[in-house]
Amino acid sequence: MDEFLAQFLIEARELLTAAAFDVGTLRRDPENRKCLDSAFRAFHTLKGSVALFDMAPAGQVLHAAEDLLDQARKKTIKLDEPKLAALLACLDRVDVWVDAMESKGALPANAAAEAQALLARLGRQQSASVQATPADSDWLSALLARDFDAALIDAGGLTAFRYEPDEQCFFRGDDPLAIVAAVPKLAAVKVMPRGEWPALADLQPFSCMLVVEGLSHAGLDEVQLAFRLVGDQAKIAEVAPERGIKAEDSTIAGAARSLRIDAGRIDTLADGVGELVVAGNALAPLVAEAMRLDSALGTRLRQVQAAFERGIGDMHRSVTAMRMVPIGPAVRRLPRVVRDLSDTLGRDVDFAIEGEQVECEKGIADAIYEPLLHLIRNSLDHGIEMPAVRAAAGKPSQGILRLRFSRAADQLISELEDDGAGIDPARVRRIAIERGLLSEDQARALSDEEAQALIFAAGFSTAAQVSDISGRGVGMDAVKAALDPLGARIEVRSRVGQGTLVRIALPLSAITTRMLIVEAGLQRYAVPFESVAETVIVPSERIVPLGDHHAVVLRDRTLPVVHLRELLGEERSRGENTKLMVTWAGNEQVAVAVDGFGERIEAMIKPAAGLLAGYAGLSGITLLGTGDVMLVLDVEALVT
Amino acid sequence: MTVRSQDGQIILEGRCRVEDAEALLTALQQQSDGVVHLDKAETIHSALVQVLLTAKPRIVGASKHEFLTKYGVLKDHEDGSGSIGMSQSPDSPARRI
Repeated sequence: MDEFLAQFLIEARELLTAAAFDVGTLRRDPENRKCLDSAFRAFHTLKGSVALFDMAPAGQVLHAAEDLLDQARKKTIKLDEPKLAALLACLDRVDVWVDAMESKGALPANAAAEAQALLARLGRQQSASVQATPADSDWLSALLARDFDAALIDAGGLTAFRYEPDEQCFFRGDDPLAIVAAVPKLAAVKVMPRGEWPALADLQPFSCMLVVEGLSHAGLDEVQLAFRLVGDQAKIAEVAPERGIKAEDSTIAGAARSLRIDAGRIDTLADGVGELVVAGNALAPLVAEAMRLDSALGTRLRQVQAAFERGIGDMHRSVTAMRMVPIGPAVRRLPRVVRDLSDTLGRDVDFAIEGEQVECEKGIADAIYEPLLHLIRNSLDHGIEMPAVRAAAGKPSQGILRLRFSRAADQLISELEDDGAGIDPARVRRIAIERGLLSEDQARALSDEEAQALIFAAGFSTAAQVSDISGRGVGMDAVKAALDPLGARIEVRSRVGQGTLVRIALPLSAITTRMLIVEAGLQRYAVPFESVAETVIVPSERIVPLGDHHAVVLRDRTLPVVHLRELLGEERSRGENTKLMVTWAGNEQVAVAVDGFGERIEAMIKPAAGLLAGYAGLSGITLLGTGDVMLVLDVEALVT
Repeated sequence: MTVRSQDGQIILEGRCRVEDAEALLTALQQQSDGVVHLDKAETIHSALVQVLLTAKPRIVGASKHEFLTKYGVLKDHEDGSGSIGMSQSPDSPARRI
């Protein structure tokens, strides 16, 4: 993908999230000035960034939204609920358009029509909308049309700027002309009023009404540097020799304080550090041995080892911290989903997310989205009742749905709570019996809480129950299946008629498993360390037939020998020496002959999907730092 | 005092800061045909430039603030071009209030 577009997608989504958060806050707290300002900035920046792509309808809509917010900031209008709803609708639509830019590289065909509808909602007279506000890049044409020296412009190599200091700038200590005077290689300057010069009697001496346009022989970067402190008030562009516009209009963004790094690179780094930790662990016994042989050398080695371990420890912590991200961006789409769904289902729902700043490992943040989406769908479909039903039950017609994130020790707690119909334990018991999950006696023995938790049991919900909304042929057991491999604990608390709370406790960082890579034929497999007792290489003649099987004597114990290749349905290999991995089968040890030992890795085991899912000898798959997928063997299941 | 009125002349001296804009405005309001002398001014804050551009008085002398003269923001009235800022008409009279 075009790198420019890729960057835009990331930033646009961040801005959309920020703006949606601010508008959401304004709905609850209309007087929140900070949120109003921050929403304005987000819409403004977003408008600027969509202008770089073929997204004119988005630009128009965002422009109208920005105007609306600006008027609210100036207190000429009040942001009432319809206006705030229109702002949210605008964000939702732009979000969809951004998705379309990613998947198709263009806006959907109906974008212009949708934009017109939104403009109407935003209270913009359509005919006036475009002409009244010239597009941002028009400033340059206007500037070039002024009476600057034509020879100068034709010569080219110029950077043009238009600086509109805001009215309050004198109070902040800005001296706009001094800023312009500092622009390197100035060629020409024009100072003009914003609008018309007022009558002297009407002049507000401390309110800045100057606009400065100019041309410089310096490059775009140098001119941007000169305006860096007032970047939001200056427009800068290169002027091509033929009076064409070469560079895009660029309002200087704030200086970058962070560096975006592809998550895969961090993973690679973390894997590397993990390997260093393992290698460092191997040093300890070596140092001990050196101590025995030569205590002076041993002592020096120990000091080096200690320094090495400290360094690795620090690095490990930094890398872990680097992978921690706020949960917010991962769940940013949920508000839109809730709005779409409640419209479809005829529900009226007040949804809010709390604790978006809580940090967890990126893998966890990404993994939690789908399960939460599923829970939310379920809550809207089966939990929160239709407005009329709620009213009849004496509840407010608007349902409340809250998603809260918090941290407890090393756990990420997500709670999804609704004030809907709740889960009827009697009904759950009845369904569980009908579906053959429980006998009647078993069902009766369950407490109400235990019965309610049955909704997560495999096979509880069936296709017959699945509506368009809460499922694609899977039930709530899909939620559990997705969360289990992450080490999650799910609890349900529900009271009939009052609502349901689903609480998910997850480790903040993904659980990684140390594994040994073994070779069999051309394939490499990972085996969890905990199932490896030891690895040895023995001369092949020490493996002797014993009845139908083979055995080896290791340290006075006779162990059965099985060949990994045979277990995997291949021919066994022969050689002078045999590499054995001693493992357990129940309480007995078994030696598994392999073709080779590879490196040790530390990685997360993911459940196998698709064709591999039903294979008993497989405990899952793991992703290597290189991006390769490796099968993780369940050796115990293989040998028994 | 960086803004001084003397015999119908308004003189800017030294470093004219933002807070002097009000004094200059008052002086120009009192002497709407006053002549403003810039040659003793070292720096002139934008706020004062804004007052001068609005009032369009006769300007005498070039400020040491090179930027303002070099790019014709404030032009010496005696040099023949006789104009200030964007207004390119040589005969623009001082505005009467």
